[in-house]
Amino acid sequence: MTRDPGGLLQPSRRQFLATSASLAGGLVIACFVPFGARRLFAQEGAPPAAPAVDPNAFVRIGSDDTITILLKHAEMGQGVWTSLPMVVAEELDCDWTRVRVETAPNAQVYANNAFGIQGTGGSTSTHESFDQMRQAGAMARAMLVEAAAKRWKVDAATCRTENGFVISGAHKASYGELADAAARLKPPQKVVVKDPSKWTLIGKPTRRLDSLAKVTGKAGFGIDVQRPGLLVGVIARCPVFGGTPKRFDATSAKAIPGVVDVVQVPSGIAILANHFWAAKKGREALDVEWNAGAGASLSTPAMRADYR
Amino acid sequence: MKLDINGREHVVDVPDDMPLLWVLRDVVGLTGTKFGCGMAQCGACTVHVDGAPVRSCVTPASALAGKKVTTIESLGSDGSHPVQRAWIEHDVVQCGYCQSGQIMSAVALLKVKPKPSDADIDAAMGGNICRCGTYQRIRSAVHRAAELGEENRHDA
Repeated sequence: MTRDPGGLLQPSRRQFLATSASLAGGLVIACFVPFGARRLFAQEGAPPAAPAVDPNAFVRIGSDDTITILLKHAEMGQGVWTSLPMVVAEELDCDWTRVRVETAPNAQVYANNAFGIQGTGGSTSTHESFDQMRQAGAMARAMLVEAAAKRWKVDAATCRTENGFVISGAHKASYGELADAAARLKPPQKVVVKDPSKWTLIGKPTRRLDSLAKVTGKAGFGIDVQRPGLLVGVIARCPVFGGTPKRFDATSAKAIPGVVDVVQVPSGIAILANHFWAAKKGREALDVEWNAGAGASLSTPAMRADYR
Repeated sequence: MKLDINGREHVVDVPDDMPLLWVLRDVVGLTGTKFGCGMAQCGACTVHVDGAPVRSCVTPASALAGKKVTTIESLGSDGSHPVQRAWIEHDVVQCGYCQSGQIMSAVALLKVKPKPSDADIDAAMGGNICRCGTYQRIRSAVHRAAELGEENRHDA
């Protein structure tokens, strides 16, 4: 690379992956990591975190028999809000109609095993967490069985699980009845997952769990987040990549009713307002001049010359 | 100004040129209606004004005095409206961002054409863009909603 005006030119994919992996959480990779990234990371000496399986991080069982799966991946239409809970539920032997899904909070235990940090992208969700979700479901099931065996003073090997119940001889208890006792047990070190020939849910056409929220307008997208006192910000950006503000005068932008403040941010000048319409009109009214920087001389012929 | 939204009167203090979309989302707090393009090109912001579908992102709130505004929230939160039921049965949604608008367009279509043909559906839904490409399922679901709507009428 002969020049890199404003950091415009991208490093190679290989460099990108190596850099991203070494940042240890400093960078969120939303996409751009190709299939096979896990292997790439390993080759380049930055292994992802070992698949940490804490069943309590992924499965919550309520005393009302509700099963809540904490989903570490973002649902973007690809169906993980349904498919990954199916994987957990398969091993848990729970009642699928009682399964609810919640977005997992921000914590290392929810890291993408291919990236080493929390993130969804590059078609990694299912292949990076399939085994982990099976383990989580199987561990939770084992803990419920152990709790039941203790309560009934029977050998855990005599217990079986079925559709949200642990059964042993004449004993039968729902997962909800056992949840509190199970939660006090230590997760087992090792569990055996089902042989694929025994799967009853994985591979079976199953209706999406995110439909209801999305047909009622209740699904929460990023733009829908509301907090007390939350303002809306829009950013006036230099029309050339890498440019910076030379000067700006906020007077006319602030004169727009609803505009609360105008502040410089790394990517330009932010107009903060009580609602989007004021912010947008504030941006249109903003008096700003830009230093276009090195990007101003970037042209198609220059880029062609660089490639040669 | 006074606005009738989903049968409730709202008094809002907003500029005359402020589009209905932002009154709904940022002032009234009804975020089911989505911002897509802001220039009536995508249909994500579709709501009804006096029963007819409009793009709320280019409809000034000041033009709505005395009119009835209806949004996705008016269909109910239990998914029992025939169009919602059909959408769930046919697994229409993927990311779901455009679906409030899709559903409001479908509801408006079924009101004027209870048994639409494929061509009717394509004509009425053509202004609603879906980045996930759920168009085939939308078409099947509109037909299914027509059946469910008919069942409802017979039940009534």
